[in-house]
Amino acid sequence: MTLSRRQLLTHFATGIGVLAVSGCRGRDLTPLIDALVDLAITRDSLSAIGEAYLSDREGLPEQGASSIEALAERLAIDLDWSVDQTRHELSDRLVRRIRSDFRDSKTVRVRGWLLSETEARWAALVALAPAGREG
Amino acid sequence: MLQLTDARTLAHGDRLEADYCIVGAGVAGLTLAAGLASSGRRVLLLESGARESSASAQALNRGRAHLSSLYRAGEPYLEKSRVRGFGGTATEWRHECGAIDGIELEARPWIDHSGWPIDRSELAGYVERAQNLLGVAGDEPAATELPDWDEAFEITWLRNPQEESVTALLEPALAGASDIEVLTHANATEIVVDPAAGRVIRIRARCLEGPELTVSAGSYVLAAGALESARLMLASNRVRPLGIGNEHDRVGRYFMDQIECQIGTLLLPGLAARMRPFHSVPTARGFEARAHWRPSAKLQRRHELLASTLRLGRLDEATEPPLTAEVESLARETATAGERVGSYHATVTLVVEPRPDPRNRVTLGEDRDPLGMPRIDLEWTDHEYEAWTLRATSHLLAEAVGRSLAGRLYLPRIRRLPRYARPRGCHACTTRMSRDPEHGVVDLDCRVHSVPNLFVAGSGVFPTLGSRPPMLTAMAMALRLADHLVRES
Ligand SMILES: Cc1cc2nc3c(=O)[nH]c(=O)nc-3n(C[C@H](O)[C@H](O)[C@H](O)COP(=O)(O)OP(=O)(O)OC[C@H]3O[C@@H](n4cnc5c(N)ncnc54)[C@H](O)[C@@H]3O)c2cc1C
Repeated sequence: MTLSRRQLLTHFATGIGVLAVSGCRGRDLTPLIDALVDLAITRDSLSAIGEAYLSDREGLPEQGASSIEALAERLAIDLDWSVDQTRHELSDRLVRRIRSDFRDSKTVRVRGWLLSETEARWAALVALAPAGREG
Repeated sequence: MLQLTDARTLAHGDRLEADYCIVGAGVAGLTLAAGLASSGRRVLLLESGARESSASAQALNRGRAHLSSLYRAGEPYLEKSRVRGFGGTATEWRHECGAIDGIELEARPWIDHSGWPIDRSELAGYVERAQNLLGVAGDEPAATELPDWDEAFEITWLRNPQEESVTALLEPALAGASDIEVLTHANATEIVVDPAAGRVIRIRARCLEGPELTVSAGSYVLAAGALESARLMLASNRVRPLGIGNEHDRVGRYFMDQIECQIGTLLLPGLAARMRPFHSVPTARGFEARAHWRPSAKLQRRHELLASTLRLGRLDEATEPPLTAEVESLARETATAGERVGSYHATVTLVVEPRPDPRNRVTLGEDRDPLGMPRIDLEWTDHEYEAWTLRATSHLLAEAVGRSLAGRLYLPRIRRLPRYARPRGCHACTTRMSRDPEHGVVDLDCRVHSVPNLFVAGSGVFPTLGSRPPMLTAMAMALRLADHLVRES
């Protein structure tokens, strides 16, 4: 069953009404979320993939890892993000990480499509980002 | 001149003579005859069917096939995958040609009973001669522009003859023959062996309605298809109770067929123009060639895969996977290169090499056909390795495509084979070639180990079938056998 965007947001994004999202090291991940949303040229498409990814994972043990906070944290680590990174650098890291995911079999099936874990998380983050963060 | 004679016009009890008697006028038998055409010897072919296929001859193919759930219960595998008539099974479709080669000929430690015991370059020479017969010889188109996913999947070509009828293709080679005769409606029913000498002394043949005949020859070749050649050897059990050439209980064993399965959908934004050769390209020699992928030898070794060949097909819009437009946008966002126009969508179909297993076998059933021959009982049930290879290879392709950032692969879960897969109807290995009699039925010259003047032609002699269509290799092997017979005489 596919959850509606509204259901998804309620389900996963409780507590992210606040603007600042802090990571495990106490970092403010809001700039990363903004930058990742901004990188999405076709936000609707990415959101649809993100929603499918999240709904496929609904009820799974790692569900908690699908909150926007957890997604941002995970992406910050995987993309070796720092606040002074340029948009270009972030995009470059994202692409490289997607490539290495496929190389290292870090893949996930979303409605049958074999995607990299990173791109699926990126899509989920875009789906969960509040509308105000339009890219 | 090739002469066709209706055996029903002959007298009951006629004794015919020839230098070579070939059972079966399918592609293997006719290619062998073409190879013997200039020998100046008399070649007689016994063909069960007529010029056109007939329902009564076709009904002789009935039997029991137990293929686990791979073939839907009740579907007549044994009848549907074979044709009785002049030209045999290959008369029914437009054929693709490609010979077994590379790693598929090797003895691979992870595949029991693999490895062809004959010289590769010798085989390649005969493949080229067979290509010439079909009008598909010559260089392959350049593959430099085609994606190979960092060499994980190599490009391999299959060739399509211009002429659809295989018999028409072989006619020029047969036309120059001094003395070749095909007896239609003539069913070989028994190979008669002299118990003392251990040699074949005659073959008995019967028409469904009509006379019974015998043929005596210097050498006899079974080219009745992998299933029928084995059946005839097993059923010829008057002198040798286990059948002819079956001292080591190998006849009919190792039966295999290729398994084909549509595994998913490929999406490559911006690559449409480059992908055309995966559908068809004309070659300088006039025939069409079609690019395929196969996992590189390195990949096969690393993952211990059975071999496979992958082809792409047109995707009809009705079967477009969910989220196609969205995944296409995602792929475009992350693509590092490629044109921005011309998205390419295609179905991906994998043909997997079957695993040699002596438990998969042709035996004789209880039922008999109208000629009194026991019908076939076929057992081919364990497809686990093939199913695993299908899944693993699909996954490796999806990862390779993703890694290149050129696109993505839609891979609905293939949990079990039967729902998606089907056998191709390319039967093989029931009279496989081996150096020693314990592991096969024919020797390196395609001679039955224990019968000096009995030979087998066709894919029944293949030690392994591989993932390529078998006809061209079977033709090459038949030409090789023809040379051997001429040398021997
Ligand atoms: C649907 C389908 C598609 C295929 N497509 C391809 C392809 O694209 N490319 C490719 O390379 N291969 C293809 N194949 C496989 C290919 O057709 C066969 O490998 C090839 O035709 C086998 O030739 P053969 O001469 O060994 O046997 P057959 O063609 O089966 O010929 C055997 C002949 O022996 C006769 N016979 C049988 N028993 C007796 C008897 N007791 N006495 C006298 N005569 C007898 C039969 O009537 C028949 O004419 C396909 C097979 C199928 C089913």
